[in-house]
Amino acid sequence: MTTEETGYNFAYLDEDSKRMIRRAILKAVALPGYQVPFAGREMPMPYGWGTGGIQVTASVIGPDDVLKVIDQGSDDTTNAVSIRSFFAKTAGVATTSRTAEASIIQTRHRIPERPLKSGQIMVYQVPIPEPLRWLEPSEAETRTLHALKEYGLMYVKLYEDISRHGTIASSYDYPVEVFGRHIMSPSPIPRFDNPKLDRSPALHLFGAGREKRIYAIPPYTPARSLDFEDYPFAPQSWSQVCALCGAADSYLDEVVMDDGGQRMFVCSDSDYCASRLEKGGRTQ
Amino acid sequence: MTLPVLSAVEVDKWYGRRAACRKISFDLHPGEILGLVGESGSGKTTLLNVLAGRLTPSGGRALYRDENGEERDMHQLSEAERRRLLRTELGLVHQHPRDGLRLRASAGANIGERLMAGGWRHYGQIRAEAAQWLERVEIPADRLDDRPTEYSGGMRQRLQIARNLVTRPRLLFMDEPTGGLDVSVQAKLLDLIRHLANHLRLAVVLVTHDLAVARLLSQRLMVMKDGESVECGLTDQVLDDPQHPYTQLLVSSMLQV
Amino acid sequence: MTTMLIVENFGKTFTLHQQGGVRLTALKNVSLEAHSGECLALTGPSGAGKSTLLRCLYGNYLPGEGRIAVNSRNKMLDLSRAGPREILEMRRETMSHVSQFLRVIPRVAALDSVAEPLLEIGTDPEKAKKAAKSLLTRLRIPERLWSLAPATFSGGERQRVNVARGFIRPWPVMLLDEPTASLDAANRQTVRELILEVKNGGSAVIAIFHDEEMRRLAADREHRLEPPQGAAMEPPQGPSSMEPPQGSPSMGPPRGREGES
Repeated sequence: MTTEETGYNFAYLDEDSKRMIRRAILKAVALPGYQVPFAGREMPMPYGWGTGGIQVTASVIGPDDVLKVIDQGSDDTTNAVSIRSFFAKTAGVATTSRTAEASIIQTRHRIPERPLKSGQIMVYQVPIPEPLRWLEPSEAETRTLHALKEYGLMYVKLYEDISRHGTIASSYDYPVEVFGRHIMSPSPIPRFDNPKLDRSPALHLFGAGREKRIYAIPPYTPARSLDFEDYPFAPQSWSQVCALCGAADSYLDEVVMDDGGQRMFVCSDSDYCASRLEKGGRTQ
Repeated sequence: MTLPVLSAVEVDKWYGRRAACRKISFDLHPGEILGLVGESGSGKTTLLNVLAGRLTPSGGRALYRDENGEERDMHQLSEAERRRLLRTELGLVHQHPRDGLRLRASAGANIGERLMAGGWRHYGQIRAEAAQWLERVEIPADRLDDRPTEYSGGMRQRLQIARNLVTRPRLLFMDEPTGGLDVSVQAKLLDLIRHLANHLRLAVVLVTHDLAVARLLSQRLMVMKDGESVECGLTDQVLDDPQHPYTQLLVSSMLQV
Repeated sequence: MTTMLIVENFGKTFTLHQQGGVRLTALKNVSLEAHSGECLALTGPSGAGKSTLLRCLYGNYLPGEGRIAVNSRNKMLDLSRAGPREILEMRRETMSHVSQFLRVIPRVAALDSVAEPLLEIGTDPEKAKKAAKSLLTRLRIPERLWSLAPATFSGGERQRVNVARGFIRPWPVMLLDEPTASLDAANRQTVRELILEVKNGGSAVIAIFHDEEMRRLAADREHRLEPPQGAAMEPPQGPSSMEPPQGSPSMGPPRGREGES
């Protein structure tokens, strides 16, 4: 366990900044899916490493919270480890890799497989918050499109997917309509995780550090993945099960085993996989 | 007697102390094409943009009669309503296709956008409708998945027209639609516009500096100079028996073949 | 016999701003009437303003002094008070103008060009095509040309397409400006028959004929126009010696100028 550093305010950010960010979060909760601009602070790490998520976490975290950080579903990657140790040092909070024990889960790519509970907060690190950016470069125009609920353009992107690939190929960052109003990028989770956003008991907060935007899906809020009548939304599925724990309901990563091209499919959620194994799941 | 689909009532537009349009009035009925002609800087494009609700006039009104027969002041509408009209009952064909097309999206998506904005959610139907319109503007349907960047200039312009017409608008604004095209390509496009306007009973406000284009397409002509309408009437009458010195100069400057 | 057209004390003057504002009087004190079922020939020397008068009647030139009234759908329409929309309606419902020259529309096939006036009033496209084909046949346009745009046709062929377009419908008032100028004897004969047919159908025909024989055979009455006093400045001729004097010589295309749109 890392020891707490002194010389910083609790959770690194000063209280005024936190208050400002909390106000943005409250607004984001009140307007589900709406991107609230906020005065993003400089953090002691480069953009792209999760500065948006860290500022959100720093603003909502308290001494009694238990923090879990995942990157690509795993608690052990560099980014996850360094963010976890950052908060352990600056806030002295307890950390965990277990989904069930965490009160705040900061994530980069995944929503844990174990169903979230009421009272848990998911914090997402978002690179590009604007789902319409792909076709409309002007921020003024995209904000107008959201304001007027003009979402023809979003369907243009899905249309393009189908005409290029024969199916809606967006496997990550698949847009959702939140509370029947705003279209939002769940960036950058796989569309496998999209159904977990719909009416989730947990609070989902999204922070984009570079673009300085915060948005939210409050608990139990409908989040509908966009689709066409003849091309309905479908999460990814695999013909295999996890090679380690045998899970058939989990998002699988393909792992290359050797230079001969041997590969296997394993759970991307390492905590889920490990807890299944503990409970007596099969091993190889 | 039909009611006008568009009425300009003493439309004024000033930039500081310079007038871009002065007291322009006319009525446009379903199925009519009105040509706005004049040299660069005569105010014709400014007038077009005011009429289409893209510029706020300094005075006067642009009244559009919507499909329910209600007269709507283009500049009193909420932005949401104005934009809704512009992508349903109205259309705007830009001189440069890049201003009116999404160059990063396929032709099919370009045509389908207005449908999707209007709530179409069946990919197969959207695609079929887009393919049909592509053929109506004489582009082979197998180019449906190509991007406009892979199209020639004339094809892009026709694509822009299809993108506008897919919602069966009642009023179309066209800004120099044949500008910058080769003559042979121009002829094809003119014929197409003429044909479609006839068949769809479209009202069109057509800005052009080319009197031959105006003669071919428009029934009525307004000649603009320094923001003013110096002459307005039947196209063949204005061109064959021009009254104003400026119109006579324009007509006598026209190249003959 | 219904009065279809009344011209009273009509005069037309052109002001040429490009030439120092010189004023040309093309017509002065013209009075005439035309009735249904007759052919009225306009005669007079070159420069008497015959073509100019036809153009004024058609609304192609703005009316000048005096009065022109056209019986359009049983109402007398005063051209000097009629708005553009009323004139367009008059052209659609009541009056046609066949000039010597066909204004070619790029890419439109001869057959479609001839059928167009019927389609404008909502005739079934198949019927319209059939009528156009029969007229083109009568005017000896070979079938292989029907689907081509007349841009590449010879002068005589173009004129026959033009005549066919002008006779596809029996308009109540028909203005013919030298319809046979470049036609051979057989086709002149056909045009004469066509005039007779529309006359018998009740149309009022007002025509300028370039040859005496045609006039003698086709016209019921003549009205002679004289060059107005003070029109000493003869407007320059167009590129074709066949073209009648034009009222506004410094402007306007040298070819036919009927009100296509």
